[in-house]
Amino acid sequence: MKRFLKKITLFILPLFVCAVVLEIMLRQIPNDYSLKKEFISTHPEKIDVLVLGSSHALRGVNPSHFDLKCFNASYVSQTLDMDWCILDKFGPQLIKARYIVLSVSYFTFFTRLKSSEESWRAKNYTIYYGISDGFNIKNSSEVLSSPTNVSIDKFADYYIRKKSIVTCDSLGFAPRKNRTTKNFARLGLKTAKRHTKSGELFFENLRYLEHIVQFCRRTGKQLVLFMPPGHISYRKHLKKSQLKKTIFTADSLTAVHKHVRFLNYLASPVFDDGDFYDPDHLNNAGALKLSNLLNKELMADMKTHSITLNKPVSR
Amino acid sequence: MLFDSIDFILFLPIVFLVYWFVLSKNLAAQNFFLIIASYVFYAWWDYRFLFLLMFSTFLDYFTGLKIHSSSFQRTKKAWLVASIGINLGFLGFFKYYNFFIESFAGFLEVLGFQANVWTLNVILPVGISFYTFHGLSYVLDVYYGRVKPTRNFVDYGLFVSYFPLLVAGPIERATHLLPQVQRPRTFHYSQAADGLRQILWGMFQKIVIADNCAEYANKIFDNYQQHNGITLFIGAVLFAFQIYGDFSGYSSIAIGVSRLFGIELLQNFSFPYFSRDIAEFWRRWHISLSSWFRDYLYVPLGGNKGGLLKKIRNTFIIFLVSGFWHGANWTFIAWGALNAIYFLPLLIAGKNRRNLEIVPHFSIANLLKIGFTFCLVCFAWIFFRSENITEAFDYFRIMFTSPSLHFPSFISIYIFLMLVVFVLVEWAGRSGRYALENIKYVKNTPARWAIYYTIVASIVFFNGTKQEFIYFQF
Repeated sequence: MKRFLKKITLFILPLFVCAVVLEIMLRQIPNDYSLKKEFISTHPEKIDVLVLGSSHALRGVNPSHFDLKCFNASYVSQTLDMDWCILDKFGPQLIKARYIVLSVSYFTFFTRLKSSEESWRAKNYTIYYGISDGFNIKNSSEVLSSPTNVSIDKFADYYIRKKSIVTCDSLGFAPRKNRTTKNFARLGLKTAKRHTKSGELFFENLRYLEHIVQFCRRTGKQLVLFMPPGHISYRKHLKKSQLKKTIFTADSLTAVHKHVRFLNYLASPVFDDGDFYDPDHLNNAGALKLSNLLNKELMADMKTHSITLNKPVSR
Repeated sequence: MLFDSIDFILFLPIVFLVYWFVLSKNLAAQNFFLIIASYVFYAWWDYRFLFLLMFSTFLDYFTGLKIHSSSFQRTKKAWLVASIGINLGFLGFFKYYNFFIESFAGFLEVLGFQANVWTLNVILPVGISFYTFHGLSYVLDVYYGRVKPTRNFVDYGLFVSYFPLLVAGPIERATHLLPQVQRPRTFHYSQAADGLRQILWGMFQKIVIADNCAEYANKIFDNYQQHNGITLFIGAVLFAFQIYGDFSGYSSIAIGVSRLFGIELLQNFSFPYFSRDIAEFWRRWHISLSSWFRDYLYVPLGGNKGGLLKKIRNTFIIFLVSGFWHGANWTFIAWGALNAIYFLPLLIAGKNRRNLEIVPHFSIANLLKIGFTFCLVCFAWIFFRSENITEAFDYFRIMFTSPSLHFPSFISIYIFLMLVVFVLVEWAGRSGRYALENIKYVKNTPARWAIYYTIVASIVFFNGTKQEFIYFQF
């Protein structure tokens, strides 16, 4: 037995050392998550408007087009549980923030990052945002959470090819070129199918949204929910019941809570074919339009609520 | 818990160390610990179905004792029938309920009736087909007097639930595994080292071969209408390697893990793609299932005894049941039927017992036979992989009616290089129980370790997109 354990230790040791070195070096590479966390935690005074949500907000809301100081903390496949975790952890520091802008897409109430195909992204919230994930070793490690060849590629990109893996600008927006060359008809159907889910996560997600609503109420912030625009090739394949449930839920929240608003841009005529990068994401031109629309709403809201804003609602 | 998951990488050393260091002097404690570890392993997936596994274990343990203690043959038979009925009843409900209901409704519609069927959202408990067959083999062996029932519930529970084989086999026999569970085990360096080598090879088969082939096979099968004949043929070949790498890889890991605990499991694969005819293929593919059907179905039906018609009938039954065992879909039944049709000429000509030697030698004639058999197997896999029968026939239609030598550009050439290397390694190691076994005869330790590190590096650098083990769904 001793011989066996000695040999196996000798065999595994170099592999283990390589994995540890790789883990340490990967964590040093600046990425979108680490930069966003850095900004929120070190410059909370520079945030009047905090944007949360999925890639629809990441690609669609450009903070540089806002009159207020805006920061985009949304990310690809960021679901309501993660939005809430970010707000719960960093929200108390955001004393100046007046608005929380949150994308409510067709799939928002029906998906969760940790059980989706993109679950490998969950580690970023643990490692870079410092959001606890219980005793989940996989989500606490770069090496264990991604295929090793992906980790090695990332390592080589940064340390050898000297390429940055950051895709967001300094305000958290991830720009995309204006192009509309993709096959929208086919992609629209495919994307709509991918976003159509069973309702088992609905109540859990609703609970997270209610946490966000209550947080905003307690801290005197306005919560602006918006449904991002979708291309006709995407919209026409959406399941009516799922869409109706999403809109009804958002509308119900606005009816119950004065500090919550819901803006539905899904089929807004403002957006044309040239504004979409793909059937459910805006390109830079589309992001400019959406950001201007949101900015206009916030400025109008500022005028009407300027007195009451930023005063916590008494319990 | 999956063998290729972080959870298992942490689970295995803990179980190994406690088993050998804390409990090594107490067989009962070792067995009890292994059964607890097995239940944890199973509950990691869904703890609710653990109760089903426990019930099934208790049922077969109890009926085994009852069969043995009954004095009358009629009582013995009644217990046997009850056990088989309940076991197959569970299997039928969880695995085939919706299939039967939907097929019945479809049949009524053909007759012109409108049927409102009541289907259920039934979740298939992982491993139910495997542990049900473990239990059945035990009660049948007790009934036929091949094995004495054990009075020790832990020993029997471990035979059914032993974690390396719990969810995807190999399907063990009481005659083989139970004695090993009952006798004290000692640690042997060579056995454990061999186990690790087999685990390494299994990981390579699964992560490098199966997962990489799956990416392309899925692309081709999911959009088969958009591809030409040669691409569809390549799709079938890639799926053949995917399913082999996946299942043989899983079996290798299971057998290797078990060796770490001093328990030998049945060999499940013996280089099946080097078979020279379809009968030989079935002696080399999923051996534990084929032999199960042979011993508990084919032989009781009469086997090779009787006239030619009876032999043909028995052959068809065994292949159709084997197909149906894989899943509730007509595609699996068609897959079984096609294999029976392949088998028929050999049976009629009395040539189904040729090629019994394990190692095919290198000759042009053998290579041609191997190539031909492989093509037949690939065609059958098309049924196995397709979503439904219509799709399978459509796949065949396009494959044979849109011939083109245009090689699909989306398939990386590396996948073929990888397969060539894989086939060469398997060919070189075909005299062993698994391809890497003969490495142990390389006396130069640095050279041996260099081979191991090369395999580890290939797993690290050439891993495909992670796919669930195919046989988990069965």
